[in-house]
Amino acid sequence: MKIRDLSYETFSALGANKSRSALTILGIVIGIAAVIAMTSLIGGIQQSLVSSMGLSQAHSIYVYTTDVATPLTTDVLADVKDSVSNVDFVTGTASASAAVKSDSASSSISITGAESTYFTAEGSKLTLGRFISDEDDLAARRVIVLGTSTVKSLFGSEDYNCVGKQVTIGSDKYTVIGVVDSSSSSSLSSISGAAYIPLKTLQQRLTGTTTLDQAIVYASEGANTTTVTNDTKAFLTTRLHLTDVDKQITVMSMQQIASSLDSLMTAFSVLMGAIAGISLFVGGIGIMNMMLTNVTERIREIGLRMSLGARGRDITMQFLSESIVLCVIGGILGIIVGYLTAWMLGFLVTLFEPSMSSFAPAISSTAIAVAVGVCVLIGIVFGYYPAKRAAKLNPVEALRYQ
Amino acid sequence: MNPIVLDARNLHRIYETKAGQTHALRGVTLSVRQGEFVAIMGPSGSGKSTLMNTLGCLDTPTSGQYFLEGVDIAAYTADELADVRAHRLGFVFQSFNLLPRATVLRNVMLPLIYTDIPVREREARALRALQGVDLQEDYYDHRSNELSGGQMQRVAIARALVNDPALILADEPTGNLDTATGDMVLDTFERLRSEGRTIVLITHEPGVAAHADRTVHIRDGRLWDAATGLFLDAVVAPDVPGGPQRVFLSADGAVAAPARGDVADRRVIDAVPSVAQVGVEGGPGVLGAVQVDAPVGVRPIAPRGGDVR
Ligand SMILES: Nc1ncnc2c1ncn2[C@@H]1O[C@H](COP(=O)(O)OP(=O)(O)OP(=O)(O)O)[C@@H](O)[C@H]1O
Ligand SMILES: [Mg+2]
Repeated sequence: MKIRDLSYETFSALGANKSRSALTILGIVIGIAAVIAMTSLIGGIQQSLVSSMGLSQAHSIYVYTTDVATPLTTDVLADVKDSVSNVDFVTGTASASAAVKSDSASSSISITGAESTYFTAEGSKLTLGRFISDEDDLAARRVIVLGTSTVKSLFGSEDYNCVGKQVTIGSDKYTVIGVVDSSSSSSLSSISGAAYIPLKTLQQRLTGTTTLDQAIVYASEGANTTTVTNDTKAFLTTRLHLTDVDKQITVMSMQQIASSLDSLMTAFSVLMGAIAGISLFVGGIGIMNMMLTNVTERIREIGLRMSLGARGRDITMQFLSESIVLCVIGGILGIIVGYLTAWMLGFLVTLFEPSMSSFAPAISSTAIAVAVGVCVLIGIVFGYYPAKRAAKLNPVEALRYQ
Repeated sequence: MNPIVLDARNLHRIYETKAGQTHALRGVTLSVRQGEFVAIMGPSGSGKSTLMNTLGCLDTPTSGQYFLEGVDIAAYTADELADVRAHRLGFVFQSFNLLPRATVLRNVMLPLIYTDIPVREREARALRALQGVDLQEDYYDHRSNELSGGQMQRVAIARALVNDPALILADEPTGNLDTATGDMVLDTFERLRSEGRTIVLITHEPGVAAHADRTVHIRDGRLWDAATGLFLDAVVAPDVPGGPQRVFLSADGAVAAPARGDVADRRVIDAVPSVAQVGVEGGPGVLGAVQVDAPVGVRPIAPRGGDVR
């Protein structure tokens, strides 16, 4: 039997049983949709992670402390830089909430005190002007770098050129020196990215303390960030006289965060994979059941075909191709449904987590190929027995069948 | 003289069922020449369908030989038998057996998908076959379930013709039709016969059998002679039209072969009281010597439907 005849027979047979075929492939559709939704969601999350994790952030190691007798200060950070090898620099930040006023508007935001190196460590993207410089910090100048979101709330538009303009915090006037893209700040940092002033200025004018909230240790190019992370942790444990290391300090590299997310994803994948697997198995049983019914209903037709010269192989191929085509149609529908589901979930994510605004599900051609391949396999595995059963029929008895 | 197409020798078919054995064919020896229209007639349960399935290579005999166009089918594998059906045989069934949702043309082309005949040639062949059965062209693209019974059967005959078979086998083709429609179908068969087709038609109606060139009677799985009421061990294709066809076996198994050119009749039988073997004389292409392994007693058939045993 030629491929052309085979496909004609297959589609006309499936066309005759449209609603039954549609119901039968539901299991396959759900199974494949789950797999595709899962993989494209994970792919999307990983992609947005990679895109938010600039090159510089791969070097960054975040340090937070809680309930420590000796707090993080600039001096401590200087010691870290001196004592831990493979460290380019260590930058500290502190923050305070305050109302920032422009001529026309006022906004309560979290203001970050930052050193010049901070912007390198965070990989911030400048849209206007410049970052805070070492001189700004040393002289505790009243200069401010605004995030685009703050520019919008203070000046009405994100695109407003506010460099050189004055804003007021408390009774002090600050000069805007630059604007950074708010969303370029790492979503894993504790910093909101709303506004930055020199660290010294913040400490002197807003918080009145030298305590830092967070430090970023920037590992040298080519250094093993895990080693640097461990060394930093060990050093700070002694330097800060920590008693309960696990509770009091968190030292984590971006890479660790990314890989811990990875293992979370793996767990998620296993779970979804299990759901998909069960659903595909049940779907396969459904296919087998339908094909068995199909064979029984068409025993006379099988007998007729045999009498007209069909060999066992022709009959096997006919029924096998029906079940394969059925599964592949289910798979294609599943891919579409899965991708749409991923989009919808992605949309929900952006609703609740605006920092993920660039999120889009990523579907890979590998995933599609694997899904189609799995469907072909299910079609073969679950269609084989009914097809063989059809081919083994005795032509005389099949023709006599009522 | 036309060659022998069908040459069955001493066919036996025993069905094994849970209830026991059924001996459906008990030594059928039969030959048919190319271009003959032969009717096989017998009462229900006499083994007609069993014989037809065997001749149609759908079933293999428990013992005996079957030569189709001179080739011994016994050695064939299932796939080779399927090939024979695809290329050399055409079937017509009592219940038409068309694919209901497919068009007439598609139904007629169906057997060709199991052959190597190129796609572009198939339609032309199907059209030629349909022209042979007198179906109006308007119907060619109708779905087959939109046709009348007589039309369906003619489509089925066209389907049997499409692969240009050596032998057309029809099992009660008029069984589901009324007399008038049945006669039209039989006219179609007669026309095919006049075009040189070889047809074996199975029926239990004498009126249907009358359309054929000759009638072979079967009863209890054996051929028998309507004229004498005796079982026959062989019914062979005539050497010359009207020549001897029937070979008898008498009670003690002595040979009772009618002389060439003779029409066998009761006197021959009476003259030879017993035979152990039966031999049939014949020229080239004619059934040669038929060996009956064991003596089979001749059992006179009670006149008109009585019990044989
Ligand atoms: N598949 C089978 N299994 C067992 N026995 C069978 C089978 N097919 C036929 N027989 C038996 O073989 C005998 C001959 O049956 P067959 O169908 O050949 O008769 P028939 O002459 O075609 O009868 P009808 O005119 O009713 O169709 C019957 O006794 C029947 O019961
Ligand atoms: Mg029958």
